[in-house]
Amino acid sequence: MRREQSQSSCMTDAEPDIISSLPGHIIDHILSHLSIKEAVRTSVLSTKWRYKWATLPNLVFDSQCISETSEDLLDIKSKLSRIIDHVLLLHSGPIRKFKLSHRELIGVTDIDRWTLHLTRRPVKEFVLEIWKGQRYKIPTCLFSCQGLHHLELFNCWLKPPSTFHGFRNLKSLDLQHVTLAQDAFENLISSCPLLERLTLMNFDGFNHLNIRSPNLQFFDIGGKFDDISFENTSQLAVVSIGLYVNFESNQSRLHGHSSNLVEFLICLPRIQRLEIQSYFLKYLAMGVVPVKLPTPCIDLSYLSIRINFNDSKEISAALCLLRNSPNLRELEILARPEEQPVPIAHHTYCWEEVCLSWPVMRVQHVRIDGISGIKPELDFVNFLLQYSPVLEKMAVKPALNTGPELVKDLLRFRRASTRAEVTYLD
Amino acid sequence: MAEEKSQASSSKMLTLKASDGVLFEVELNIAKEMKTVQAYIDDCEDIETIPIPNVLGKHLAIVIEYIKKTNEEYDAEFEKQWNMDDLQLLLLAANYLNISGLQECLCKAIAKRIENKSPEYVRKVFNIENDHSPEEEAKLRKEYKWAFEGVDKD
Repeated sequence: MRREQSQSSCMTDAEPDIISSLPGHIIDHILSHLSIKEAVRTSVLSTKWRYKWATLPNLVFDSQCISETSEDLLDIKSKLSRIIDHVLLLHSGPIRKFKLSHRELIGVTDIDRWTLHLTRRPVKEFVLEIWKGQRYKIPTCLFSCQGLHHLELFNCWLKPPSTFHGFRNLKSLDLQHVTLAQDAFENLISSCPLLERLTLMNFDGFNHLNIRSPNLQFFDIGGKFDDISFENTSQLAVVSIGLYVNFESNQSRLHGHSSNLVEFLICLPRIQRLEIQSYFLKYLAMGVVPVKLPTPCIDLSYLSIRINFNDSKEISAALCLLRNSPNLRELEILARPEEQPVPIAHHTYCWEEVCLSWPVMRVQHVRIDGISGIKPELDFVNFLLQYSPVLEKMAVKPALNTGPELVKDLLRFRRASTRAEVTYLD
Repeated sequence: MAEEKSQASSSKMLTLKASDGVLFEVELNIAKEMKTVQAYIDDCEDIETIPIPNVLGKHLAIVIEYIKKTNEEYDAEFEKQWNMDDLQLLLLAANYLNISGLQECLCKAIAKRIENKSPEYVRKVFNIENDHSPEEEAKLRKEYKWAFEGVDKD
């Protein structure tokens, strides 16, 4: 039914249709906050609107595209396939971002075809998440897409061709649950000269991490590896490393010289935020843990450590970091509960030596998680309270099934800071 | 002496003249958030009154207030106060004055109001006249069938 115009002609004069005459880039901006489904629906609003959606720079295909009523999986797969074909064919103009992430999407040859199409658009941000099934093998054509600024892959297998010489414009790379050969990995990282952000989570195919990247500022990794080293990474400001494999102390994981910790920090002169997760502190503690570092970490303001309080070497490594970070403001300590209690040749940690020449710490906020009240933990907390004259807040979260003694012990400790607020989180 | 001088420049006032003649005196740092105004100042340093020919006084007042107060909480409450026409005119103003934060806030707000709504509802809200013939519209709806599933009942 055509809308009646009759009396409403005066009203339409007073209430003009502003939106249809807005500049294209503004309409793109509004539509970019809607799902692709909603954006395409605007094609029916009026003849003017028929192809306004078609210049959308960002295309996201996810679970919102297909209503969940369809129960047949094969149906969903072919439906999704038709939708993407349809949209890509009608779309005009550059495609800045393409994201494909649907629960039922299994690596299919359709993705090969879409990727080829996208490399011609040329796409700047490519995000592909394969939720189920085997690692999807990335088609060769993606490796020649030089327009890429951001690449994000989940559950994929990367095998760059021998003609691959890096992504000239890539600034951000996020690889999770990927398979990549050792040399392919090293080649990839070192041949992306503009790379600023690198995320690697759960990978296989390579064990040795040699990160050579002059513009890298952000590095986040979690996985199983034998060793890690940095080269020419003086811009790195934010680093988070999780080593997900526990190794026996007698297995030498000493990388190169005399101290993993020294080797690690030497290449990170500008580090501001550091997170040491899982078993990485154990790795860093290998070799001789120094008291003083060759150069202090002047820019380090935030430190988070996962630590095994039963391992005195780990405690030494943690203290080394604290001692050599004069501008540290925030500290987070996460106790690592060991599955089997380590038969400790109980070597009580020698705190007197530590305290003898301890510099003033400027830590303001401390969070301690997962402690149960064993002596090494209490000694550490006591030490922190005594040597942090500007401490403002300390929050302590106990491990499960911790008795009330912990609170009593915490209350006892003397505090250097009169302003310190110690809270116990149940 | 140097201190006095810097105090003077930070509280330097500028006059903005809206399309309906309404004048607004604003601090330099507020005016600079509008990149269009900034460009004007860069070109002619001594200017004191800057004409804003595309924006009504009532909308310019809202824009200036937004720049002064903007933060997450303010943004969340901001868009609720205005009707759809005002939102669109404010968006045009933000676009002309080149204030990216306000543009983003308004685009999000407009999108939120039409999320999950039927084309009939959207047309009403924007005063869009449907000039498709019934056959054309039916054909389009069939072509994009997948896009029309799961819409709110108005």
